[in-house]
Amino acid sequence: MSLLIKMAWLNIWRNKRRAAILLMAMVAGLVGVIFSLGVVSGWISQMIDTAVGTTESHVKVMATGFHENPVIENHFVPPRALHEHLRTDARVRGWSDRVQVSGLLSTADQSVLVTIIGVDPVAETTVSVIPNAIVKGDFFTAARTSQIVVGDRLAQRISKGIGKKVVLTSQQLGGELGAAALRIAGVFDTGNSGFDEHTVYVRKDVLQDMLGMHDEITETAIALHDIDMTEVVSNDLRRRVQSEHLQIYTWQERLPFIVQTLSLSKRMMAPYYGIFYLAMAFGVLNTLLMAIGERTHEIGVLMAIGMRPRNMILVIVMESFMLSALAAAIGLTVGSTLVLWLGHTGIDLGSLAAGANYFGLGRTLRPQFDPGMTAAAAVATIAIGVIFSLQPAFHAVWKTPVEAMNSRNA
Amino acid sequence: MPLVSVKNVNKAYKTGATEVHALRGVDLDLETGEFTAIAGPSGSGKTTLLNIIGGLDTISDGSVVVADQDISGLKPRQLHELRLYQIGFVFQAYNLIPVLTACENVEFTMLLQGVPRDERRRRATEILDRVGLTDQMHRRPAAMSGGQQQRVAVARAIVTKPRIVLADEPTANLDSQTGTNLMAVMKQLNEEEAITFLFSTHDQMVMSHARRLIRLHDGRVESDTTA
Repeated sequence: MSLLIKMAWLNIWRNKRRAAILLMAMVAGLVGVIFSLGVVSGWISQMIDTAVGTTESHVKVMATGFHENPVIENHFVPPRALHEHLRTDARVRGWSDRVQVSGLLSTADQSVLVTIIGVDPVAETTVSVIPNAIVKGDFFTAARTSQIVVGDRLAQRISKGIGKKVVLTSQQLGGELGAAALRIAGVFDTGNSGFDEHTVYVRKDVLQDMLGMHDEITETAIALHDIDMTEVVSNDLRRRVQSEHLQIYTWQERLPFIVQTLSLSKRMMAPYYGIFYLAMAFGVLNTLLMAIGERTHEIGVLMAIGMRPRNMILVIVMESFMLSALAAAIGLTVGSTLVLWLGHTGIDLGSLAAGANYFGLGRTLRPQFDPGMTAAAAVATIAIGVIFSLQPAFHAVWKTPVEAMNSRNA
Repeated sequence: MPLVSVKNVNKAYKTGATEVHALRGVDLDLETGEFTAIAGPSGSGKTTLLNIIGGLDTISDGSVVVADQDISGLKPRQLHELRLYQIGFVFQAYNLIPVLTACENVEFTMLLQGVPRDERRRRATEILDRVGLTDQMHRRPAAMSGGQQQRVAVARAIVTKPRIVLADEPTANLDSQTGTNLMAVMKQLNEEEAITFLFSTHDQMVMSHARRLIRLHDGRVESDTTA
């Protein structure tokens, strides 16, 4: 057997240039697949992280009706059982009670429609990326209460910096207008320009005062240690906190656009990978047919001296397996290294960033290494090599020894 | 019972609408231990006859019995077994496996028979020593002369101890001295190991080594003489 393996290995390198070209083509194909898998995986991950880490979270508790009609009339006072459960559930990373409302941010010369989010600054750090996205100032300071944190795009638009005053206006619970004068304490940059231009954060108690509320909130945002536990935790929560006044939503339920985009992207990528592998398959087929065609006479001789057709097929399939496995090993190494490196450094989307924002991406795309899918891509490369060697292998033993020996070329 | 018995064998090839008769009513018996040459001009049917005896080609009519088996009734798998265990082949163009060394080439048929690795290596080394190629064992065919390659081919053919070795113009690609040396090696193996040799040739030197000479002409046995 070892002699057959050696024979198969050496057969590959009879025509070094041809073997090297096929090897490079397979490596390039696999690297392309691994890279695109990394990009899609990174994009999906970033899209979810951006959405879940800013306004959304893994699980949200809301007053019944707020999801469909986000007005402050749809508010609730968080029941004690909810906080007690969240405090004891080890799967929960943190939670933040919020008041969310639409309003106007005004300066002396302009007004901008914004989403106002009232938060407890300490609690918010456990669920949101905003406290870590501060590029100027702070995510609130202990010294003053009348503070506001704005996105950098909004700060640029209104030409106001740290310490400058702005006025927030929104409709109160009773229908009157409520307003508050606030100073900018911090500026955040999430990389999502739409979010950064139209979202502001204030202290929850300040916003509640402004809106004529007491302990009422519009949502409790819950962050988990593991995003894959979202469904389980939300179901547990539904059982524990049963109230007709409260609704519990997962991020998938809140963000159907993202879920549909993920599903669509997976379906769109399938034919793309199919084309990659088909091109690879025809490369293997063409090369093996050429290589075996050149060896038809020799195959006839081998069968003449007693080599069984199944052994001949085995040698040819082994040749393809070895070449594919080598391509898979090199492609896996190069592709994984590329994805891990770009995942670390990020890909600057430059002029594409504005368009990428629409898809929940920032200015930098970070490909993400997906071990399972990457391994599957490598296995698929080997499988393609083996499957598409079968036809040339069977073709090789189809002739009788004399027919094969009499043909110098197939 | 002769080792090889060819009875009234006809072989016709069709090339388009034309039928070419390569063999016409050939009768031939070959006993164990013979050292026989089939001579004749190109197109006389020498190679066809060897291919038929070797189970590589089929007959149109007649019967061929080799090592007690009527090969016209054998299935492809049985023909493989016959060639692997009962027949050794030596080809005009040596036809060694270019990617394997001389020793590995000789081991190859034993590998196909399932002989254990150590036993293969021992027997290959021994047989290469018999044909005077001990120092060439680890060379690949491309690094060897034509005579050396043909001696490796002979070693490959006899290492499995076949009942008969069929050699198709084994000296055709060799110079006269190398050809003479090769014939001496084959004759020695025939005499010492009692291996039956049947070879085709149109080389007078080869004919002079043969103990029995069968002449073919236009697919018919023209003469059959024993020295």
